[in-house]
Amino acid sequence: MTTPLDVGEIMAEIQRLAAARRQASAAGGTAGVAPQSPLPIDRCTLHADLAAPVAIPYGGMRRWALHWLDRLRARALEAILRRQTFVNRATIASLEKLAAQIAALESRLAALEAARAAGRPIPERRSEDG
Amino acid sequence: MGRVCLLLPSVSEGDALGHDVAGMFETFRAHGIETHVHAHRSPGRTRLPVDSMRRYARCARQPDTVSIYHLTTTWRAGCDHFLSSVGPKVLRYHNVTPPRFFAPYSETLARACALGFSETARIVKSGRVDLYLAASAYNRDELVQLGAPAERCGSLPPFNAIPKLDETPAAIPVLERYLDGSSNILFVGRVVPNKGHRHLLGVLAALRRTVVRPLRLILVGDLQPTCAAYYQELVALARRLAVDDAVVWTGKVASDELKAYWLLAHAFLVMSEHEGFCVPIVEAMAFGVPVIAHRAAAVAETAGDAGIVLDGLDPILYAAAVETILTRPEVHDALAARGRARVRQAFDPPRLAERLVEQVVPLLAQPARTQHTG
Repeated sequence: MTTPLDVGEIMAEIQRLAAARRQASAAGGTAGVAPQSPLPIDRCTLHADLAAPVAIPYGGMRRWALHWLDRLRARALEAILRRQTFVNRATIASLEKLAAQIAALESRLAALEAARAAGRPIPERRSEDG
Repeated sequence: MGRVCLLLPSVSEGDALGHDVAGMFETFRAHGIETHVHAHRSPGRTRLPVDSMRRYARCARQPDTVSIYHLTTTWRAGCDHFLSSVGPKVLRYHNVTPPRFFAPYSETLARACALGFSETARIVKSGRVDLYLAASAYNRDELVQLGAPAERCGSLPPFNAIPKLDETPAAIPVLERYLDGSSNILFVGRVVPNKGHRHLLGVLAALRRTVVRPLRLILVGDLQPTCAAYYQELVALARRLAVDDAVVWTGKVASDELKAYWLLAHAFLVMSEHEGFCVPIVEAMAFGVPVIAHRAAAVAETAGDAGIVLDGLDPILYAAAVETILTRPEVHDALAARGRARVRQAFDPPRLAERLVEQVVPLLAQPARTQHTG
């Protein structure tokens, strides 16, 4: 819900602020005001969360997963930046699910690599692996 | 039923003219009207089927061909073909940039604009145009001043690519690069002299004297080789103002990158000195980015009551407006909501399509104006 905007009031406020800034500038100083966060979302934090790299050492599967991860990250970021919180949650849920699947795949690949390196027989694929 | 031929010098996807022609093409086709696009050249990749002007010459001999000529600059051959066509004629007037902006930087461009003006006057004076379709009321007034009869002058905002941009996933590398806590002030437009880039640099300098938070000015737009001197002048100015570290020149961008820049923007600042419409204002409003604009040419009517429109070019005044948006979330949100509402009400493509059909389809059933009637 947004508050109604009184354009006249905002314009008057801008003119007052400009006058103050001109005065400060003429006096040779600067006001040095640190504004509040412009948007209620901390974009940096979200950026750090969503940009976490996912390493999957597996050719085609890796490319496929990264492609979808990129699309989901794009959607998630977009939803956040546009403050569509409902869409955002759904998109992030998909993102988390995909990340979990990638992590499981990565762990299984690591186990296979370890088995091969140790000369152990490679375990058979179980039906629930999908 | 006859056919519609859309004429333009050059088809390029991704610019305002290209989106307008594509919107018209799709609208007429959706109404079952045979439609062709004819251009002198098609330099970029385009999804529109572009026919030659030779083929247009054949269509132009048919009395049931409605020709719509998109005028932005000089195109002598196109102008001749259009005026000699037999069927009804529509002049789609996007405006011509006054040559004085280009004169200090490019004689060629200044001359092209001057010729564009004289061709517009020639078309108007021929008295053979059945309908003038101006992209804004500002453009319509210009046509009337040239002598076009007011009763034949309609206006229709250009079609936009917002629905497609909405569906395009944003470019992740751009988001990652600029989501760093800085406030991003955005301008979108070709790097040409009428766009007022030097004023934008002045505002950034004024803002940096008062706002502690990191700021960035992102200038999205094609760097025109013909205006290289203008760009060099801007780069030198940015250095002189000590803001060059906070200015990003993107050059021409792909649609996923453009989407990312809209998502990153905290404010859209436009200080152009001449615009026949200004499509980026509509895009900014659609993406909920507050608009701060200089009242020049058609800018104020495009922004309507959804933007902060200021008189004069005092950088401190514009800096105060940007600062207000950055520091007052309720002002940011209210302007964003107003912008979205304005786009729905005035620039929604289905509504533009209805208005286009209302004005042009009746011409398919009527004989062309052939005499000089002013």
